[in-house]
Parts: sequence; C-alpha cells; structure tokens
Amino acid sequence: MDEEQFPLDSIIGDEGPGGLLMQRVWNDLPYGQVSSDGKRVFMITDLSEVEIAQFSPIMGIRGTRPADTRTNTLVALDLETEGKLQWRLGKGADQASMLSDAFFLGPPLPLDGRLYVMAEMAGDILLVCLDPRSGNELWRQQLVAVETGSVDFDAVRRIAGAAPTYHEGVLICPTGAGATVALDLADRMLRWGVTYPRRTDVNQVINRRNNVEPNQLMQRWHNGLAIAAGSVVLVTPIESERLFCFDLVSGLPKFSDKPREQMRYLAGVRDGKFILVGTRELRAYDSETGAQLWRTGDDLLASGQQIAGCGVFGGNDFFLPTTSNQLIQISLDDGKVVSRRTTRYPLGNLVAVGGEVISQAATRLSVAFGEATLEPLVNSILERNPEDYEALVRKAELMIQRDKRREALDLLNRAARIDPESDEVHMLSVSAMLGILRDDPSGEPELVEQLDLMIDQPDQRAEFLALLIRGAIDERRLDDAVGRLIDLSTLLTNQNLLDAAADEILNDISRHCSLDSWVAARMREVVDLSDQQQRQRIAAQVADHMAGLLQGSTGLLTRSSRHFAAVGGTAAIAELGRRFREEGELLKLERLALGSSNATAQDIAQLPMDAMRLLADALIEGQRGEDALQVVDALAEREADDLDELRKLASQGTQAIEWESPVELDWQSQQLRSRGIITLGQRLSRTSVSWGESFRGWRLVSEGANNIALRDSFGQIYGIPLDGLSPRDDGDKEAIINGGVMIVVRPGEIAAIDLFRVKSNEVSDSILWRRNFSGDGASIAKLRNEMNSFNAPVFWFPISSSTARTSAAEFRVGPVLGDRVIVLQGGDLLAIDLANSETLWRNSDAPQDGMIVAEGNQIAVVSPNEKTVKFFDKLDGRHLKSEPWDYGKIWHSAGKHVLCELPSDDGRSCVVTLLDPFSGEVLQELETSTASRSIVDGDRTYGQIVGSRYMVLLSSNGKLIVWDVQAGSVLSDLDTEPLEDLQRLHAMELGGQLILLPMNRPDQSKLPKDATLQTRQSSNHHTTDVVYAISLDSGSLRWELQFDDFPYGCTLDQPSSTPILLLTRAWSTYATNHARTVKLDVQAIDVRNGKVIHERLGQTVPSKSNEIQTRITVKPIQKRVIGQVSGEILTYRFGGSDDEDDPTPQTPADQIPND
Amino acid sequence: MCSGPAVAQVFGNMRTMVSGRFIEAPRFIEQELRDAEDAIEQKQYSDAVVRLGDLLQRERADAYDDDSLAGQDFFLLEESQKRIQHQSMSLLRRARDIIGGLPPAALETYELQYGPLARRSLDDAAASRDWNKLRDVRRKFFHTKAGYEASLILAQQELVSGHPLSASLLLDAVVETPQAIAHLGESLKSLHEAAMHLSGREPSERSAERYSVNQESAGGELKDYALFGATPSRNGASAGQMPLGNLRWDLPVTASPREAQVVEEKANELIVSGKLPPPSWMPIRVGDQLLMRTTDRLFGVDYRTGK
Repeated sequence: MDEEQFPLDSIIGDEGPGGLLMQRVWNDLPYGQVSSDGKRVFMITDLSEVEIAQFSPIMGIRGTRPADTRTNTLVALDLETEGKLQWRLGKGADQASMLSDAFFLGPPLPLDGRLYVMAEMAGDILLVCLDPRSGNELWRQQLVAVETGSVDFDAVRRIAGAAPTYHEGVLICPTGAGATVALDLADRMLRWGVTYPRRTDVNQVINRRNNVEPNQLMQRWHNGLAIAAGSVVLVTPIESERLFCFDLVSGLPKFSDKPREQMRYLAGVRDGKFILVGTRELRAYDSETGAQLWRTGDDLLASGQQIAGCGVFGGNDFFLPTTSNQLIQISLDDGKVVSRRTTRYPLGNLVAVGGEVISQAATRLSVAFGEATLEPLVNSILERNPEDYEALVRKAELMIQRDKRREALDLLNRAARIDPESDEVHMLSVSAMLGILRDDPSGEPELVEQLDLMIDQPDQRAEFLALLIRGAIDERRLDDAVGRLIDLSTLLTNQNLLDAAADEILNDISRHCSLDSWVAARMREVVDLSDQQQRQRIAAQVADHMAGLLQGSTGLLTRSSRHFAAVGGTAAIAELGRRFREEGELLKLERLALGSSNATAQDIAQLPMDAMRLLADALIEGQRGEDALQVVDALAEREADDLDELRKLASQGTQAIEWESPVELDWQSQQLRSRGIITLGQRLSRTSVSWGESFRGWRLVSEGANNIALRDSFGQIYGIPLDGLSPRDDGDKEAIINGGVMIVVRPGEIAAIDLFRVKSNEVSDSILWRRNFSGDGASIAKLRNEMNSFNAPVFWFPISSSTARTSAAEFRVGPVLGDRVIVLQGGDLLAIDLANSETLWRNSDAPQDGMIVAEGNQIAVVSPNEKTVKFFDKLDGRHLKSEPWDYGKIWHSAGKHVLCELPSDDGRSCVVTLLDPFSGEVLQELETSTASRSIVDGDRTYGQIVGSRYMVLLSSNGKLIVWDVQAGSVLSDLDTEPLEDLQRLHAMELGGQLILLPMNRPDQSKLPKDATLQTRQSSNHHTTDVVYAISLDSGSLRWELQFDDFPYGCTLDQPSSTPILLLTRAWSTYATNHARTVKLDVQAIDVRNGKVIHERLGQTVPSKSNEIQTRITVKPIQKRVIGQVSGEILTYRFGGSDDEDDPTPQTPADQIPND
Repeated sequence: MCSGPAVAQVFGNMRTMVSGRFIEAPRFIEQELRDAEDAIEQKQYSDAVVRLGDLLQRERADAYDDDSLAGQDFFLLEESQKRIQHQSMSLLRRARDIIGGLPPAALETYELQYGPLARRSLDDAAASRDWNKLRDVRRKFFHTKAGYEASLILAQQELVSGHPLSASLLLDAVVETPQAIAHLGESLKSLHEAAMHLSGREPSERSAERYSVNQESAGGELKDYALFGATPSRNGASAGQMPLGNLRWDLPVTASPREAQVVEEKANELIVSGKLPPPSWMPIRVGDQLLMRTTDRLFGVDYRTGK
C-alpha cells in the first residue's frame, strides 16, 4: 500500500529490541490479521503496546495510560486503486459515529455483502454488522459484559483479540472474554451461549516486579478463533488455555474440554478428526468423542527443531513448517511422516493458494511454486515448445527436487544456451552438481573442478568443501583433507554463514553442530588417522597457514586456532597468549591453554608443554600459586627446562600460614536488639571444584543483599551482582568451579563467572554470560534430593513434566571442560561455548537423564533408567556408540569415574562400584550393609560424599572406607572403634583432611532430668559423638576426638582454611516460674592435631536464643579466627596478644537482651 | 505499583473468575414478554399478538438511533453452578415460539395484523433478489404466511448450495408449526427430513447417500485466501502441497535490517528454549494481490512479480 495514500503506524524500526516490535511479530493477533471481501481489505490500526494493569484491592483494575488506548481504528482500503482509503471507524474515523469509542477486536468477517466484526465498547463486547461500502453500522448485538477490566489493560484479551466464524447459518463468536456466543444469522437470534473460567495460571504471568513477561504471554493458544465443520464447533480460547468442542445446533459440549498442555494451535477438522499442533508434535482426536487417535512419533523433529508456524492441509496430508526450514508432510491417517523437504527460505505461517505456497515467517515472506501444480503445467508448455526457457528452468528445478540431477543438468544446459547470462540457471546448476557430489563425495575430478570454478555462494562453497573433506578422509587422502580444511576454515573466518549451511553439511536429523566445531572435529579425525610422518606434514601445513594469520584480529586467530587445535598451532596460541596477558585477560589465557581438554589435574599434566607454560603464567598472574605449582611439578615430571623462575613465582604466597601458640580468646556478647532468634543469614549451595586447588573450599552462598556470593576458604564473602534472583531461589542453586570459571546452575539457567576477577575484587565485571534454557526465564526443573542406601543425599534436577518429553527427564550441568560446558536437558545433550554461551553442538539422541562424564575426546552419558551408556564425540556431538549399563543407580561422579550402588533385593546390603565407563573397567568394588532401618541386629553403614570427590562409608562395626572417586583409588580402609548405635554420619573437608562426624542414637537415660540438650540446628549443624580426621595425603587416621559425657554439635560448612574447629551445644533449664535459662558450651579444636585449644562450658546466653550454629571468619594476616554463635563473638588470637587489651574473656552472663 | 500480596489477592480471585457475563434483558423488554404471556392467559390474543409482533419487528431506525438495544436479543438466563455454563433460550426465540403456539384464531389475528406488510416485504425482496431482505421477512414475520414462504426459500437455497445443516436449522421451527405445514404442504417435512439426513443430524440409512458438498475439501480450486482460516468456517483450505525448495520471490517483513536482526535474535532465543510461537500475522491473497502485515504497515504486493 502506498505510504502517501494512507497514514501508517509509527515506524518502530529504530527503537531497539522494544516490546512493540516483538509484540507485532508474535503477540498481537488483532494487528497481524487482515481480511478482504474481494473489493476491499480490512485491518486494525492504532494498536499500542500491551501493558498490564496495575491492580489495587480498593480500586480494582486501573491503569495510568491515556484513555485513548481504549479505542482503535478499523480501516477499509480499496484494492482496485491499490490501497486508497475507503473509510475508517473508531478512533481514527473522519466522522463521529456510534462506534467512535469502539476497540475493534479483530478484522471483520466478510459474508454475503456484509461485514461482521467484534468490538468492545463501554465494558461490553458487541457483534456489529457493517455495510462494507460505507462502514455504516447496520445492526449490533451485545454478546457479553466484561468483568475483568477493559481490553487495553487485559494483556491476555488484548493479544488474542476476537473474530467471528460462520458455519451453516450460525455465526459463532468466541469473545475472548471467557464466553462463546452463537447466533442464527438470518434470524439475528441468539442460539446458544457458554461461559468458561479464565486460565488459572494468569497470576504466573506476572513476574516479581508485577510486570507481564511478554515471553510468557507467548506460551498460549495461537489464536482463539472457532473452527467449525459439520455439526462440530471447536474453540481454543486464549484466555482459558483449554479446547472446547460444542455441538453447533445445541451448544452442548461434545466431550469434556481438554487442557492445552504443549499444544500451540488447532489446525482444523478433517474426516471426523481434529488436528492439534504443538511445539514438537501433532495429535489427532476424534471430533465426536474427543478420543486421541494418533500422535506423531518422537522422531518427527530433530534436535533443536521446532514447529515454526501454522501449517496447511493438502489432500490427505498436513504440511508442517519447522524452524530448520524443513517442511514435513504428515499423513492424516496415522500421523506418519510422508516426506520432508528442506527449503531455501524460512518457514512460518503458511498459506497455500493458486498452486503456490506462501510462507510468512518472523522476518521474511516467501512465495514458492507448488510441485504438484507446477509439473503438469511445465510438461504441457514443454510439449508445445521444447525450448521454452522458463519451462526448462522449472522442469530442471523439479528434477533437482527429485534427485534426478543429471537430467536437471541437461535441461539447464539447454536453458543456458537460450540465456547464457542467467543467474538462476547458474545457481541451479551448482545446486544439481553439489547434489551429485553429495551422493558420491569422492567425486569425479572434472565435476569437482567445474564446481570449484562455478560456486560463488559462500554456503554452497562451505558444503562443497565439506563434501570434499569427507571424501578425502574416507579415502585416507589426509593431506588433501587438511588442504580443504584450511580452505573451509578460511571461508568460515571470512564469511558469516547461516546455521542452515551447517545442517546441510551435517545432514543428521538428531544433531546440530556449528561449522567451527565440525572443522575442529574433522581435524581431530585426520590427526587420529595419521601416522607420525603424516602428522609432521600436517602440522607443517597448518603452521604455514596459521603463520599468515598472526597479524589478524584476536577473533580470527581464536577461531582459526580452535579449528586446528588437534595439531597444536603453537605460534597462534603463543600470539594469542601474548595478547591476553597484555590485556590482563587471565581467564581467556587460562582457557586458551586448556583448549578443549577435560580440565582436570590429570588432564592438565598431559597438555602440550607450551600450553602448560601459558597456563602457569595465567595462574601465577592470577595469584593461584597452588595451581601454578601443580603445573610446574607436572612440567618437571616431563623434564621441562628452565622451571626455577616459574617455580619461584608460583611459590609466592603459597606458604602455609603459621598458626602459633599460645591462643587467646576474647569473648564478647553482643546485645540482642530484638527478641527472638538472630539468624546467621548465610545460605550455602552445593559447590563442587573439578579443578583448582586455589578454590578448594570455596562455596556459593547467599547472604543478605547478595543473592549470589562466593565465600572463600577463609570465610570472606564476594558478592556477585547477578540480577533477577531472589532469596527464595537459594535452595535451587549449585555451582561448579573449574579453574578460573564457575558455572552457577539454577533450574533452567546457567551463568558463567570469571573467578580471576572475583579474586581480584572486580566482581561487577565477573559475570561472563547467562543462558536460559526455558526461553522466558521460568524454571524448567526443581532441585530434588533423595537418600540413597547409605542415607546420603543424591541431588538432581528433574524437568517439570509440562516441559519435559518424558517424566524421567533431567536437567544436568557439567562437566566443565577447557572451552565448553556440557548440559543435558531431557534427551538433548549440548556443548556450550564457555567464552560466549553459544551452542557448539546439540544432540537429541541422548538419554533423558543420567550422569555426564568426559575422557579424551568422548563424552559419556550414563543412564541407569535407560540402562545404557551413550558415548558422544566431544568436539562435534556425534553419537559414537552405546553400551549396556547394569551397575545400578548412580551415586556420584568425579573426573571420568562414576560411583554407583546396587542394593540387594531386601535392602540390607549393597554393592558399591567405582568404574570407568570409557574402558568399562571396575576400579573398586565392595559389598557392605546399608543404613536400612530394618536392620536391627546386624551392622549398619552410613555414607557421604565429601568435597565432591571422596566417598566415605562408616559401618557401625567401625569399618571406615574412603575412596577417591576422581582418582579411582582407595584412600582409606581403616578399623575404628565400633559405634553400635550409629545413626547418622556427616563429614566435611577441612585443612587437607576429612573430618567425619558420626552420631549415635541418643541415650536418653544418660541425659540430666532437669535440662534439655540441643546439639542440632537446621540442616547444617549436626550432632556428633566422636570426630575423626583422615589425612587426604595418606588416608591415615590423623586424630580422633571423643567427648566425655555428652555429644556436641558441629556446623558443617566451616571455612576450609580454619585452623580451629568449633563445636557447640546448648543446655536449657526451666525454673519453677517457667523462666528459661540457656547455657552454651563451646569447644575449639585444633584441626591439625585434634587437641582442645579451649573449652568453655555453661556460658549463659540470652534465653531467647536457640542459635548454636557457628560462623567462622579467618583473618590470616592478623592471625585471628573469629567465631560467631548467635550474639556471642569469639575472637581467637594466635601467637599471643598483639595489644594491651585485657585478654581475660568477658562474661556477659548477666546481660539481658534489650527488647 | 501495588504490593505483591495485593496482586496475589486480585489474581487469587481471578483464578475462578469468568471474565465475561451474559447481559440480562432490560426490564422493559422482559416486561413486554411477560405482559404478552399474561394477555394470552387472559385470552386477550390481539393484545398479545401486537406486543410479540412488535418485539420481533423492532429495529433501530438508523445507526444514530439512541435506542441501541432495539432489535437485540438476550438470553433468558438460567442459573447454574457449573464450571462451564450453558444458555440456550433467548428472548426473541421465546417470543417467536409463543406466537407459534397460539390458537388458530389468534394466529389469524397475527396474520391479519402483520401478513400484508410481510407479503409486501417478501415481494420486494423477490423483485430485488435480495437475500438479506428475504431474511428480514423471516426474522420479523416468521409466523406469517409470507414468513413461512421466506423460510422455505432460504432453506431451499441453503440446500442447493450444499448447506443441508443450515437448511435444517432454518426449517426446525417451521416444521413444528401446523399452520406452516398447512400453508406450505407436507412436502416441507420431507425437505426438512432430507436436510436432517444430509447434514448428519439424524443418521439413517439414507445418510450413506449423503452428498458431501464440502467446500473446504474443494480447496484445490481455491483462488483467493481472503481471511484467516481460508473460509468463514475457518477450517482452512486443502490446497497444500510440497513447494519447491527454491523460492519464486520473497520480501522482508521488517522495516530495516537492524529490526530483522533484532527479531532474528529473539527468534533464535525462543527456538533454543523450545518456545517459539507461530507469528501473529497471516497473509491473504485476493486476485493478483498479496496483502501482508509487516512490523510497521500493510503491504500490497503484485502476486505475479512480488513487486
């Protein structure tokens, strides 16, 4: 339509990623729909951005926007004059009318020389009949009064709009306001009306800032139009989230309404069945009974592929548009796939008319010939004139489509003789030749040569090169393959190619992989296939190529060096290392050195020596001396030279802190400002460290205003400004630390944090990226735990059933490798680039749940539920093989090892196995009793995983076993004093040792009658009857501590560098007037030898306090350890007092809370 | 901005809220119906006939008529506690049914009162071949002889154009009226029966012969796609087929490359998370024009060239 003839809506192109733009594309049916009566076209204008009302319990629903958003304009444009304005109604009308205040809910339905449109006016929804020539109102009929506020404040109604459907004399009007009304049109008489409740989850649409999340509003029925066939009326009201089926004649339900679930739209009714289309599937139901007749199989869509829009019916099939430009033809008989076709244009909502198919996607509208219509047409033209250029080209296109490429080339040659300059002939010829090469990648040399000259499109060249590479590798022409890989790498770094090109190359329905990853994986394949001599040649070839890039941008160099990581590419890595070091990008430097290695201490020792030196540089610069020393040691083992300077630098700051005697205690009591409990306010999340001694003992915590913070091994807090989290999310987080990067995992979201920056207190720049897996910020899973055979908690994130494909689906993150993190989301396994959160590859052939481990170039997903282990290529996500799994449930994994348990049928004993799924080797195995309560007379065994690496098992007979899961070895096998009444085991890692805290069944007879003893608080402070310390170096029992009479309690998350272990318990006594007195016992233990440094018994504390948890902060420079228990502050000074303060502890026993 | 609990409270109430409510008939209109029923009870048929006849005939004078309720229908609401509430009796239908149930003498009065006007309107409609006028005759003067004739013509028209269900619905109330049968003949019943069978409302052996003139399935012939859902019943066409992989022509639907990029990024985000909805827009094709919404306007494109 000509802009000058009609004033257009305001241009919204340059306002950035604003709401209105997204709304118009996906969230505004009244905007997107137009209709025509053959002479005119009708549309709605003056539609502003959807806003949610502000709700007030007193005033009800009200808003602050100007009143004129309550009206809009219905416009009629003349078709013959190409868009001349005929009339306007509503807000933009030239003359006032009874419809001046109307909000038109959708374009009118043209029927028998009349227009029928639904509009909202003064709180009522009306059906209005208009004269299409003038826009004059002929009659109106009220349908419903709206109870929930006007349409401009009701986001759900505003997005949905409303438009009538006409069928067999009846006009059906789903109003969008929880009611559908049917009228006998000839009689203008109400036939029937139904009302149904509004969607119940509408409150979930409101986020914590009380705003509507537009993304969440996208999760709905696509439209609320009624579809009628025979005597059936089907309605999918957006406001109700259900599907209703009414009898056209009576309005009575044909069957009970159905919830939407993951369905997107109702496609239509054919042969007594209606078809629902979801995000990833189609379902057919009987339109009389509502019984499900079929649903499409799990193999309908590939990994990451999704249904992209409204499809079309054709014959006995449905044509389904999908996101990877693939149109799928599905039989309406049984939901089976009839055929698939990949198009060279994006697919969206489809319209099939006049023998052609129109697709309107989010950014493009495309029109293509329909094959069935084109063929007879072309044939008849060619019969009349065999040299018709247009017909020859179309015929060739048809031939290509049917894989008859040689015939196509003949036709194209004929066409080229008629028009030698034709781009289309050229393009189609390339397409046909590529197809021939695809069938036979070894290819005829002439064809390859010709193609090489002809190809001018980058994506076609990429495919051409990829085919040649494939062919060369298959025929072991490795030098050739490397040459082509270099060509492809150059192409990729110079051109931005679409993902579609990668899919074309991959041609694997269950997998998507970036072209960069594909190149890296092929390079690895070439290296693996080559012998020593070939490898040298290849390295020289690559080095030559990389030498030419050394002056290039960092982005180019990074990409190229990743392509050729399999051969090292030393010079490029050295150059990048130099740049990163200069820029102070220590994390980039660290990850550059690690490459795609598995980033565990063992794997790092196997890195190329140059990379290890780079790594040592990053670690020294980042003040991670312990890690740097490990690298230097590994270099020394490989007999590297010139390590003295490196070792000296690495050693700085790694000296153990001397905690010297004597130790003095300063005990202060803070006055409690209010009644009740002072909570220490620190909530800890599970944190595992897969590599990085410098971060051992670091924990993800939430404290006060810091919803995400890190606590170092001294107890110091580093707040991380990660928005959008609230304290209620605490329980659902976990973290994985791998060297300088930490992945924070929430249900459905991961975030990467740069720990180098955290360590240097640049926390505001420490967030690298966040990636959401649900698309709208909502949780897709919940953190759950369950106690295993040894009463140890096992954690996992089951995906909520509404988003999962199956009920066992799991969201699991980890391991974190050098350059990527692996994520399992239901059956999708993804590798995510640590640098930028982009997907490197995705394979939907993975198990629904399971533990992920990595070794060498493989990733394994161990799924006890599916009794299988599936192996994938680390670089490009190829499924390599599957093996059966029969070791029972998984308890834990560390490094490449998996710890599993297989309980006996009666649950009294259990086989624990530690194995390497990659070699299938069982590294350790034992059979022992369990913690089952049904065991009355025999031994019972309790277990824990400590430091995300060690498995501890302690039996009531005193048998103590510790396995190092990561190393696959036995650390301890000891006999301790039997604990016949063993009831629980807790454990922690402290100062290079494991601290075990077993608890016996409380012996009530021993407790005094006049006092109650408290040794436990929340889930973090537990009772212990004895303390064992096991050396992590030797596995020996370093010390043990028995208590004289009564047990103590111990807080489990004490900072790991603390030199003292604080134990606490509280005694409550009640006087005759019920007044309560609370006395606290505190014991400070030297973690090095288990000696009691200090014990204070019977310290009176405020009677309101139930707090016995301790919080320790270590001040290494001041040589102090500060312990806090409720309002009591205990300062331990090591090496004697450095001031003249009276060291005598004050006794605040007589202080009374100031309330 | 109000507090969280307040929002929760409001939405808590909304959980079970039905957002639309049927409007009760205004008292004065309902009173007309009651007065007519009272008059019938007291056998004052002429009074009743006039009241009911006027009720059915009432119409707004023009678009600016203040009495916007004139000619509108209302449900005679039935109370129900069900989650899904169903209404099926309307005020005008009741008025029409009452007239149909009047004794012959009263109906004669009705015919005398409204018959001539109805007849004139019918003749007028026939002369101008105006189906809408014919519908007006049926709507306003259903129980006059001219009204019955109008119904018959309308039903026949629906039947021959392949809409037996519509035809049967038009005849439902006619065949229940003995006067109508008497006026139009017994064949009316056969016509109704045929329509019932053909539409599948009354399954019988004869339904096997049902000629399914299903316009939707004739979609291969579809020339225009003028509204969402292809036809007024919105059941889509059946003209789908595999398109060629290469396109004929295409056009951007965003206003600028930057806008396209922003939309693409958002689309990718939604695809990755498995939550991409179909776009809001649907193009239509009328004759040689393709009409489509873009992010900022309506475009008309020459379908043959894409220009």
